[in-house]
Amino acid sequence: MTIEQDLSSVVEELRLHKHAIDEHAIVAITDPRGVITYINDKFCKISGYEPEELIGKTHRVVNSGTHPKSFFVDMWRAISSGKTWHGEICNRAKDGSLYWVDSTIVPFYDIDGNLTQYVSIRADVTERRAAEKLLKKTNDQLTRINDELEQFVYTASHDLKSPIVTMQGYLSYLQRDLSEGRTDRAPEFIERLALAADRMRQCVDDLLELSKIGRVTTNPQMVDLNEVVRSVVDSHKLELKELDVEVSVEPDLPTVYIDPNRLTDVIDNLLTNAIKYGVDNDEPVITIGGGTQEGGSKFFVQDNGNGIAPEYHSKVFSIFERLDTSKSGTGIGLSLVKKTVENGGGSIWLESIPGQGATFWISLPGYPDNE
Amino acid sequence: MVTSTPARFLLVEDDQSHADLIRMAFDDNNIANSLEHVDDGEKAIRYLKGEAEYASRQLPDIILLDVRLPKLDGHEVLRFIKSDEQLNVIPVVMLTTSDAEVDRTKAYQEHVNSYLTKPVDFDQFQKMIKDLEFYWAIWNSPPSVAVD
Repeated sequence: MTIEQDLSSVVEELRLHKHAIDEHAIVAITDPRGVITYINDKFCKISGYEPEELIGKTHRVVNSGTHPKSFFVDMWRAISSGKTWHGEICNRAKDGSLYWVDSTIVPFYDIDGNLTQYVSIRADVTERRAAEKLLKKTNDQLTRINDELEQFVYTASHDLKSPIVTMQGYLSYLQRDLSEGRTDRAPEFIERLALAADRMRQCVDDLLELSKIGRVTTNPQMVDLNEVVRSVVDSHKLELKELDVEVSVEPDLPTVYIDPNRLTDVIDNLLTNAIKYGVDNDEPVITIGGGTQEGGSKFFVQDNGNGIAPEYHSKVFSIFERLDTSKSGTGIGLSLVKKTVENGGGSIWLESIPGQGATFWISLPGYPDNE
Repeated sequence: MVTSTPARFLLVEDDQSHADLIRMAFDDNNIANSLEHVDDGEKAIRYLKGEAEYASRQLPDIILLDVRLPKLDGHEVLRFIKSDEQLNVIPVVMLTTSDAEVDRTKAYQEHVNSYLTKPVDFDQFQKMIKDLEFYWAIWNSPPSVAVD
């Protein structure tokens, strides 16, 4: 075999290797300053650029701006000192979309030891990154749900047992009294038993209500808050009159995107709460207002009762948490509201200065554009 | 023989029915002790500090402390008591309707003196009160003089 034949077979072999690599990977070659001298079809395809838009430019063309400056400083430090660099880079295609590439950049030298070029070989890992992101999101969600469940079991084990302990207590007194022929305390004990049983029933009802959120299919739509507030306030008419509570509803409440039945529950719970705590003021006034904001709407229900100290703001939404046990209630209402709002993609928060009442704010996202 | 000196109990309990039942257990057993009652963790701390409306309070000899309380829960109150030099000698009995392991472990880590699940059988609860009384009486009995 002649040298020419030898050479030609080596060239052919190299051509095949290059072909195989081009079939698999995104390839780019730059000069020592990072100016692109070669790109393969895959590079053009993923980036959306034509070869002439890239040749003679640096990789800044596809820079997504998502990596910190130090990321590329470290990369350049490695390759310019002769080391091969591995890493995942987020680039921006011509149409503005982002894509991720798993990259290997190898510096090449001539026989005199001068750096001649950098060859980068990349694989598209956009889908994998997206899957990882989704997995993390789902995982975070599961962790949160698990924490909620744990908290629920913990509080339920305390609070659901509470009326049972009461019932058993009064029953044992009743039994003992009756066995001794004593009946004077019996009516009171029976009354206590009935109250505890009633409380238990209320607790279970509320819990069932709470468990429905997220399980029952919701039918979100654009709902006129004005109408919902009007009907909820109307349903409390007698109570409001009896307790002499004034309700002031601001005009032009927003239209919000949520399941109408759930919205009624939310307003009803907040109003019930506002009445319960507002009456601590001699002249109780409840104000309901709100409007649109960027990306959706926000609204509030405000009372002028005693308010809530800042250190308890985070506790009011916890299940079974009741700051004032002199008020009736199971401590489930606000956690119900919170869960409903969060399920609708919104958020709820409390603003209150002790002595000046409490304002519960809710913000909800607007009508979804592209989902 | 153990002599019974009236002990002062402080009951920290948010459930009025449970508080009433506990008071009844004291009365029905002719336990001649005083029983003060506060209904949340914040009031418990104000009581122990002798603040405002509790300025004339006497420190209790035994504290019965519910775990689930509004505002500050039983664990928070317990940590306050055990970190206070004057208060940390007062025996604290945690009361709860739940026998959740996490509460028990936490309470013992916080140096609770005793931990009792609110008994389902009320006779047991009365027995507990009696035991507590007895416990307190022993606690307060004069130490025997050591002779070298």
